[in-house]
Amino acid sequence: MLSFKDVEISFDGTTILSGFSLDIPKGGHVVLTGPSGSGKSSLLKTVTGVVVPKNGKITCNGKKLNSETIQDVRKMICYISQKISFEPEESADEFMMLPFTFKANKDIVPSRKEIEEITKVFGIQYSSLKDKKMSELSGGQAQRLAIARGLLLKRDIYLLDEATTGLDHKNRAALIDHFRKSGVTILSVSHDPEWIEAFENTVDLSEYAHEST
Amino acid sequence: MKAPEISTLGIIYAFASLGVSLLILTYFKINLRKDAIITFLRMTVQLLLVGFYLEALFTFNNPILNIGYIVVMITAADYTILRNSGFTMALFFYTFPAYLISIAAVLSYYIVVVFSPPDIFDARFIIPISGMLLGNSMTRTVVTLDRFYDSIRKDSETYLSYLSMGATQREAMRPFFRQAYKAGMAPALATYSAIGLVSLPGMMTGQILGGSDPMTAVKYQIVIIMAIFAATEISTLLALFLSLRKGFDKNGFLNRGIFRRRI
Repeated sequence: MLSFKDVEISFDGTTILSGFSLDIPKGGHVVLTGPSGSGKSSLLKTVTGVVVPKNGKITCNGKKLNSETIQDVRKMICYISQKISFEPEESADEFMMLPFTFKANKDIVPSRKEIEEITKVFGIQYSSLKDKKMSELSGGQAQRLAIARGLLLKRDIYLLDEATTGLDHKNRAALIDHFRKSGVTILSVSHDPEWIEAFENTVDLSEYAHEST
Repeated sequence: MKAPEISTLGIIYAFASLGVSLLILTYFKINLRKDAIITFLRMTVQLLLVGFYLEALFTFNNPILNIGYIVVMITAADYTILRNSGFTMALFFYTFPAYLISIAAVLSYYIVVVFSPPDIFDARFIIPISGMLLGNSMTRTVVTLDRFYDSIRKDSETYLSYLSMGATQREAMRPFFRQAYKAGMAPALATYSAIGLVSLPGMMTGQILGGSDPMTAVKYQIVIIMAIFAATEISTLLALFLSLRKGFDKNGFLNRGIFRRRI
């Protein structure tokens, strides 16, 4: 489903990671661990096309990632980071519906009921919150909405960059439970012991990392 | 009524009024005295040179020379404003056509439809009007470009998150575009709304001093503000769209080479 072969990432001539290979089958879950600067987030971002590897090959659902295929690959993936981005004046409802204003997602616009159901999994009563400005919500509420929004996109591959940071035990457990049942492929970066334990397969990037020069 | 000539002595007296500023700078030991003197001397020399050019242009009043002068004006202005902005000269060939097209379009419309002078290439019309359109367009275009690229650069996570949710490059940049456009337009609207109440615009004041009837000057000012607004809209939009070719790479990500500052 998602595979990396001999991937090398470097910034400004400094290699931070090399010789990285990994195959994640459909429905597989892999958690990337390692010290900061070992290239975990950069590796996730290679799949989104924003970080371009210096060497190596990334294949997503049989499609080799390059500038021609990136738009198609982006329709298969969902990247959720711990930093939630929104426009300050944006309402919670506008935030939730934003990806569905993109042409690529126009066929999967969720119904009000679907939104209410998925947000309820994370302890949010959507009807009472949807008209509030995103800037008025707590960090945890915004994080849960972002995750719920990502799930509504119904992608095959989820790239989660410390996405559970800021979630309490109950919500984290709800997310783990949801992903376990969903059968999607997940590549995540996490320091969260509960998350790491739940998904078992971990890859420590230290062994691929290069000393900074 | 024609405006009385200002004698050389008059200009010297005007310079003498700068003494107040120099006294303040000296008394408070503000280290700007040299800069202030150089700036005012430079401004005077530049304006006198423009005066000589314009006198010559008005005497010849040749359509090709007039249009050539406008093109030179756009080139020099584009170069200067880019040099003083956060961008490298890499954007020059994208902003230049934006100014050229917007000035040509708005100037043609206003000269033909609104002013309808006997000679449509008359230097007295096309040169000062182009100057005003250009000056205003450039400021706003650069503010908008700066805001647009800077916000994507600072908030690349948001931009990335849009792309990774399936947005095309255009869809992902739309919110940044909206904010940048607003940031560019808001000060202009604020300035226009205060015209007449707080300030008398320079052009109108100049016309009244030059002997025009106040109502004529007011009508000219209204029309010129509309023209400026139209030109800035066109140049801002064009510059932004044209610059995208240079501003982003083939993966839809920001080309940091367009910024002068190392980031």
